[in-house]
Amino acid sequence: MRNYLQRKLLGMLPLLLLVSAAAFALVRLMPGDAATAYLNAMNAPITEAALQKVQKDLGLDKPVAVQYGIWLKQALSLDFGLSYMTKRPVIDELMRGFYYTAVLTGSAVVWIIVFSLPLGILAGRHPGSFMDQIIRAMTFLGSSIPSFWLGFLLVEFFSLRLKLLPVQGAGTLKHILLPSITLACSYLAMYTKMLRGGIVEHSGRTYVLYARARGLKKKTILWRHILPNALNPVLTSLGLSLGSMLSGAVIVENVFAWPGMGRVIVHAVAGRDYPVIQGYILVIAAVYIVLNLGVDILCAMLNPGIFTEEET
Amino acid sequence: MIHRILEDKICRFCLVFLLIFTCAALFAPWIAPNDPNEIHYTARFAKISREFPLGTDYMGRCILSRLLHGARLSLGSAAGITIVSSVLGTLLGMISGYVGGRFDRVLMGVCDAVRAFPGMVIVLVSVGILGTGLLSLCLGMMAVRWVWYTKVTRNLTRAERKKEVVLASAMAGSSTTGILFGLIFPAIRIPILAVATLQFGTALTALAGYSFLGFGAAPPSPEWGMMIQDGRSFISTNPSMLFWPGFCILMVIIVTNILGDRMQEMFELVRK
Repeated sequence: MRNYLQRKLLGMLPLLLLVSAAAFALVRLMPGDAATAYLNAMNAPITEAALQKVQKDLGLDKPVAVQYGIWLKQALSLDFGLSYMTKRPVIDELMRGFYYTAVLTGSAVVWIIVFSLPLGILAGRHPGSFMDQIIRAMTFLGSSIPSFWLGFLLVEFFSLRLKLLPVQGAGTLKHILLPSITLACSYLAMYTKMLRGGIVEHSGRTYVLYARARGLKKKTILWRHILPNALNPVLTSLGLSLGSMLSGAVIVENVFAWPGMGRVIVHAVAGRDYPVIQGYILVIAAVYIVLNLGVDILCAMLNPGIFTEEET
Repeated sequence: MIHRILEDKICRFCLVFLLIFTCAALFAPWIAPNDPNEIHYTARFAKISREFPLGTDYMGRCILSRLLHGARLSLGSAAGITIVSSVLGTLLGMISGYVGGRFDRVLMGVCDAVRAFPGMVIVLVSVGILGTGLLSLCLGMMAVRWVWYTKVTRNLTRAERKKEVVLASAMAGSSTTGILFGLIFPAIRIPILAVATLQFGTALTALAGYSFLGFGAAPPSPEWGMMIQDGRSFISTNPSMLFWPGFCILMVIIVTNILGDRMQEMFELVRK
């Protein structure tokens, strides 16, 4: 176990270095040079004197390797510089956005658990039944529907027609309802399907037959034996989904004007605000990698067998 | 196996449906009733009529014509992404699975590295370097997607490599290329085709999503995601502007999902 953890933790380092290099290279490789982009983002006139001053201020006159070193050192202390557009520290903007994105993702996870658990069990208990068919159709629709379009349909129906919920923004509990459901929808469908598959598969195993032979009630077998086994893969991929939901929230946030990281990044891309783009890439990648590591460790704790299997 | 798919009723229905959409995209300039970018200021937000079968948008542009021309961009780009990444990923995966050794280890390391980041990050890097646009978006998406095919193909190839036919063929002196394309590829093409079909659907949504965010096609391009972005300001007054492009995306994705699932199911059945 310790070996495994060490290897996983060490494996993280090159990945983080890789993404930091990519984020840094972004500014080096973009069309035009950084100084011009900076002046453009500020709407300042581009003169020779201004260019030289900016190059000095941003440290662009030093060798690339030195620049990367300085930048990386600052990035490690969470200093990504100032946003070209708002002139505020990038990390402040990202952190405020991160809070809202995390709230959104967290609420979506609640929906996923609340819906896919009962739906998956209902469908998996009697495969082929009418209920199963209906749920199957629903999961198909849920996983196919594009989130931005679903978001607008929900707004059109609940906010504009019925006037029950606010169209956009954040603040109250009512505000988070539509965005979180929109974000949860495709994952919800996926996990319902996965749980159903797990239950169906495990119901056919010999240990279930044995439990029946022992005279256990069907209900007991389902809750005590089948479900824990079927939930195992669902839990681990839910951890993986968390990372992709954090980055996937971008679209939902833009549909509902939810003030998360997704809003920040879309503004930054539109305005070519490079420090913000760099900061976003680093933060999202780091969170994603750490989450995946967490899932790996959790998975290892749940199935100690993978240590032996992995060497094949 | 291919003929079995063609004989299956569900698959045939899906294929016909996709064929219709493909034809609509291919022949858009001839079918479309109007120029997709022609502005009719007198007919803004026109209702459904003979001249404008699905009405017009806020600039008086014919929605149906825009949908048809947008199909070329949206479906074309999604197909391009899927074809390039599946061919590249499959080739690398087959070589990696058959040859093994150091090449396999290095390639799997690269795959793991790519998968360690959310796809969004790689697309952002691509868009950041090359500037926003449909092409840089597609390149960024390809850079993420070949990995999926490589993993699947590699594992399938490794299973296939152990079969006696392959061993015998190798002993008889067949070339590696001959074995890869003559024996292994025919055995594994169906699951890869199924993955590609499913990936086409996700590519289409992702592409429309990024365009919606403004990373992809620029206005006045009738790309479907772009059309939804265009329509969002008029959601309270004219929801049809954003309804139709989303509906088209949904239809295509449902069909590709059914087709891909069905193909995977049939392959599993045959293997058992």
